[in-house]
Amino acid sequence: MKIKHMQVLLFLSILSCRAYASEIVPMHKLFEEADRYEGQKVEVKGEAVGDIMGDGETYWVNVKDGDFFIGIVLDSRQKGLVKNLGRYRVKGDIVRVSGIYNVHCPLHYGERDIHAETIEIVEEGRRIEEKLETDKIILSVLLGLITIIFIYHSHRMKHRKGTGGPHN
Amino acid sequence: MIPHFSREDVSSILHYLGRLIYGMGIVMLVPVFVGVINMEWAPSIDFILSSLICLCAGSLILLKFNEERDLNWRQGMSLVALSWVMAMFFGAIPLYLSGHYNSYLDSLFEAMSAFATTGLVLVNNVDHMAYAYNFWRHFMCFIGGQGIILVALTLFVKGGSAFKVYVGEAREEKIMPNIIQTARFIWLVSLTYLVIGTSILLFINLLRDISPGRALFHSICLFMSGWDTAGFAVQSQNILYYHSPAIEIVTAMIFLLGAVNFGVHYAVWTGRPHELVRNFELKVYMFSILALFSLVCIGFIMQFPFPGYVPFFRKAFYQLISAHTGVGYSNITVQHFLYFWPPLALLGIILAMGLGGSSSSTAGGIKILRIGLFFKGIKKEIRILTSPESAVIVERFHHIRDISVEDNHIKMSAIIIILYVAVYLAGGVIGSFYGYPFLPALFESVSATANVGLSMGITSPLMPNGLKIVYIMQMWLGRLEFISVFVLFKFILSLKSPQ
Repeated sequence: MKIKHMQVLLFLSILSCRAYASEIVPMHKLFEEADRYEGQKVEVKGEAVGDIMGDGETYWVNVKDGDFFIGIVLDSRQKGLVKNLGRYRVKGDIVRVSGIYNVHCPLHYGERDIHAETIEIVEEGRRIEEKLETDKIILSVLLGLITIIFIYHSHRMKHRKGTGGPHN
Repeated sequence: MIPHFSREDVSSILHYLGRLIYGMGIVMLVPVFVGVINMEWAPSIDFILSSLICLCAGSLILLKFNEERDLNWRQGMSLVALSWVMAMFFGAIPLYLSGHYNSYLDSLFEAMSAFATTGLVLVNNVDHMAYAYNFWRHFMCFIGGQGIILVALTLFVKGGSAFKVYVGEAREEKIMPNIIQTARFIWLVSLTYLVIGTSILLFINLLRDISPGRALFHSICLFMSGWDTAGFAVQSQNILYYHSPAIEIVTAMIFLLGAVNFGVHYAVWTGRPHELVRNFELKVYMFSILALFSLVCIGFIMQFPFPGYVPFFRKAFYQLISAHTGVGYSNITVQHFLYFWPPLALLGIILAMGLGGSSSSTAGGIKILRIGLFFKGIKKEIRILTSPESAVIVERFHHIRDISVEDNHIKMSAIIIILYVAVYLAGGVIGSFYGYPFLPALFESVSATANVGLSMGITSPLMPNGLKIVYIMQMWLGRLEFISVFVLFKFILSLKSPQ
């Protein structure tokens, strides 16, 4: 009976460990509880932004979760999976990255990073169309006309002064 | 008794102010070009609109106040102080139109931070910002770092007025006999380094597989912000974004050069490289960097969170020189300062920010020359007190030329040091009143006043509006080194007081 209980407990603890390993860690926790996650396998989710940057045989991509960012180290195969990077008019791919978290990575001169083991695209990025505001265009035209009138008057005044006009 | 400013004073100041606003309208056409080549149509329209607002306002003022007169000292000083305020109000327009700021006040904060080359930011989601807006943020740093008035000097301020506005912008030294030549030399140095620095950064970025267009954009912006010791970056992670020691080394070289007195640059350019080893200010600078880095090291040794010397040196030394030159570039996160930096190391950074870079450079803060002179003054007093009464004590130092320490030098240095320290502390106390712990509040206050831009997280779009206004004032006062702002205040008071 006792052994059976032990087996159940062991099974439950393995299950909870697996659940913990696959749980997404909010990025702010990687800063606030750095000691807890240091050297551990973690899973983070966020938008890939900016550029994919080469670094020898590996690549860097920055992933954003709210106001927090982390640098992810990818191999060339993983790099190929990220197609859309967040920029102006582009919403980047939402990626789910699983890998080892380093507060001061010994391989990258103390960088805070995650060495990706797996990377999955949770939501594909997309292009966002620009919206042109007609109000601004109309206002620009009006201001342009007013400015031309002001500049014209200003030059005329200068000219009149130069030639001994009424202002002299 | 406050001397009254006459109608003539107001008219002269407004005339040049009109020209400056008009000039801003022309300068805003540069980001229009950036927007058009990147096919960013909405941002381009925002810049055309902003440019037209400036041109319209400028030409209206010029229409009303069309007489160009030579400026006297008080007019020149007031003009400088007002120019920076106007530049902030007009420079903030495209930022506000971008939709990346919560309010116009936030845009004003960012514009002042850029012009004063501070680098504190309130922008939301800069990672998705259009090239045109992002370029404008960095271009404002370049204009501000060179000096708004210095830019204007090369364009439209003539005659005897030039020196008065040049001094008003916290530059005391005429590098060349003629002030316009001095302004042009500063431009020549900056543009030469722009080409060299941008090329090196571009080469590194291209090697790292960044697309050529983006690599060029990053490189130009990094240079402008680094050289003018501003500290803005294209992405919200600042220098950390690149995860590259090479980028860190090159940016460090750029901002160290930017924080060197233009007089020293001139000496080296004109075949006097020995100035680098003889210059008193540079010697004090080196000593100060070593002393403060030792303080940071002691702080970490007492509570050492870094696993090795290389990561420690890479992160801690970069922060220290970034703070000391006033650039505010960072290869760590804001949270890193909060969670991993011991108080003693933070004190080292605060002192480095407070002391600042060289005089007549793009750096902010008290300035190393003043600190050196202050200590020379103390040494001179001790020598006087310990020498026979008949002895004539002369204390000398070498700064471009051999100079003997005069009482006036010491007095002016002491006044400016006291003013800076008072504003640093006042900002820290005000931050505490808003509910922030004193150390981060002091850190932020020194960062704003010394135009550095490092942050412990207080500066954010969510901070109280009152504190945003306080930091705007501190950035303005710190950039102009108080005097021209005080003259402007006197001017405003004289308008209100009865004849």
